[in-house]
Amino acid sequence: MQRVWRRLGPALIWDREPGHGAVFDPATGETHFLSELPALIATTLDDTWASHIELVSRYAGTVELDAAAEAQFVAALTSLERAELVESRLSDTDQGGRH
Amino acid sequence: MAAHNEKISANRRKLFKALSATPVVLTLRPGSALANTSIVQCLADGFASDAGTDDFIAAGSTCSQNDDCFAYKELNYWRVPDQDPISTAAGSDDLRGAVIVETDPVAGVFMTTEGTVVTSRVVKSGGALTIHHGLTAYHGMLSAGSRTLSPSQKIASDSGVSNVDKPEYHGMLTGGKVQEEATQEVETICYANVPGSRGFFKLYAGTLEDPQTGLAIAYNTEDVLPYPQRTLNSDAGFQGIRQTCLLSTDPAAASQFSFIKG
Amino acid sequence: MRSSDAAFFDTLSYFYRDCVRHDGPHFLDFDIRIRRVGGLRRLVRPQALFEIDGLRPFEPQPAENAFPSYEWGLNWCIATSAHRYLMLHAGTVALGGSGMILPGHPGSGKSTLSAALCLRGARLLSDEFGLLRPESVDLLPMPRGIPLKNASIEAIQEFDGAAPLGPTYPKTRKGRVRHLRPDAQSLRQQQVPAVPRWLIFPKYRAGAAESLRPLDETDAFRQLAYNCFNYKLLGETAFRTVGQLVRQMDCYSFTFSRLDRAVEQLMALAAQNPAAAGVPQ
Repeated sequence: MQRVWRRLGPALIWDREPGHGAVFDPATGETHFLSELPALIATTLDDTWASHIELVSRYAGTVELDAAAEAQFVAALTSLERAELVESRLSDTDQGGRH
Repeated sequence: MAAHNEKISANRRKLFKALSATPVVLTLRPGSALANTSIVQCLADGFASDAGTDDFIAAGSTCSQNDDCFAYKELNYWRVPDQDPISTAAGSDDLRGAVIVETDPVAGVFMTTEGTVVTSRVVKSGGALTIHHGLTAYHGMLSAGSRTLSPSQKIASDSGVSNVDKPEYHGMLTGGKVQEEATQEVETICYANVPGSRGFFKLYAGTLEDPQTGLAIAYNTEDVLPYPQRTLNSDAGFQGIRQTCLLSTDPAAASQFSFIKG
Repeated sequence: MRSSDAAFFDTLSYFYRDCVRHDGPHFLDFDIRIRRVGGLRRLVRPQALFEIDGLRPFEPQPAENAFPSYEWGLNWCIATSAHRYLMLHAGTVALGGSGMILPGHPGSGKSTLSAALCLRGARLLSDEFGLLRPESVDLLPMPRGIPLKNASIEAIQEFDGAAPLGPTYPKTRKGRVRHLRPDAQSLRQQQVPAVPRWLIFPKYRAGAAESLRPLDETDAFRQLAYNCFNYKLLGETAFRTVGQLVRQMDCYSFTFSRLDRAVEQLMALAAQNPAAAGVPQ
């Protein structure tokens, strides 16, 4: 079992270019300010479920993260979830990696 | 293909850079209710209220519109002595001479008076104060004879101090002046708003502020922005207010506060 | 505006005698009436009631406070209905064709600063509302009497001994209040918008040295949105408008204690901008 993440809903509206500055969520009407890591994650997520490892790979290709860095990445996802920008669930992955 | 590889490389660099800082997601809480309060307060009988919000006044307390009403909470602070016998984690920054105010282990955000957030987590565990790995924190240095703190440079990760439970290093900041080491007094007043309440509290808390940058200690959860500060019944200005203080978004936090009339 | 209270009309005339008056059929934004409470109250501690479109949203006020009640009541009317515009809780003035926005909560000094700037030649747009058209992001004027409270009254009198101030109202819920009359030029140019050019977050702090510090866009955005009456209501429109505003304006945090030095510094800032032609020196 692992936790997987996605963003379902209308596209976020960034004040400047995607991944920078303030962002407006049309789904909730809220405005958020994201630091670099959550901003980068927000531009990587789409409406398909993905684990944090898959998200890292989606953004930066094959990358080895140590435990602390992985924890940091998950912490960013958790912060985004608290702000209702993303959702998560626990998933069993099949051999193809589908959730 | 080459362009794709270049993009991935660039993203990899951005990712590692981003991983070096604490992730922050702040949600804007517009102060429209507060702005409207400014107008309606002039005319309404008592305080402006939004349907469904709780009365800020603690149960059993009374506060008429002619009172200045305060709530206060005592805070722990630690003054790190200038000299030994404080032990400092090897490789960490020197915290000698610093004053560090206790923050909620879950919350704890340093914030400028303009609302720029600098996340930090100062945690007391046993006799040790630790500023967590990977976080940037500021702490203040009390100037002799001054009532404010001037911040030192940023503390890097893994800074820690032990043996701070000794009585001579530990104090409680209350509404009055706290005398420490005979030469340094700290006057501690701040104002805060309890989210979901109708009014504002004048809080007695740690006063840590740099006159140049306005760095302040705040209590906050990550997604709450600073509320403005003011007394309940007056627009007389903020003399004596030295920092931005925020309360937990937990309504039950109000029960931690004592209530007095000034 | 309708009232049978002669004293109230005298005060109204003092402040707005230079306004353009419309006679004949026209659209009303607000139908306001100030009237005395009847019965025994006519004789014993008489009271005045603010009515808007026949409704009474507020408690009666002492009759002698009819004018400030009218001013605050009108503020309420605007704040609760003018959502066609982005509304900032801000003082706004124009220097030449360029607008200076001074957002802030009560006690920040925005009204006092706005008043002082106007006494030195700036055009008053508003002391309370920064009204912006989202489609053009220009600042709309709504010049009215500036309510000065408590120590601000003396501060303005010290700043300018000839400042045209109305009567003192000693017992309002905000303490002692006295209004600065808007100048004739500001009233005559009510239809002339200004282009926002400077965003200044004032912070009065007794004894502090004047300090004008640039703000980065994120801080400016957050603070400006925070000081917006109807940010959540306008949703994406507000988000985009605020973003555009902070990009087109020079944004500062401004700490001050001395009014004369504060005005000097803000005027000097404005004079650096060639677009602010006609900035009084």
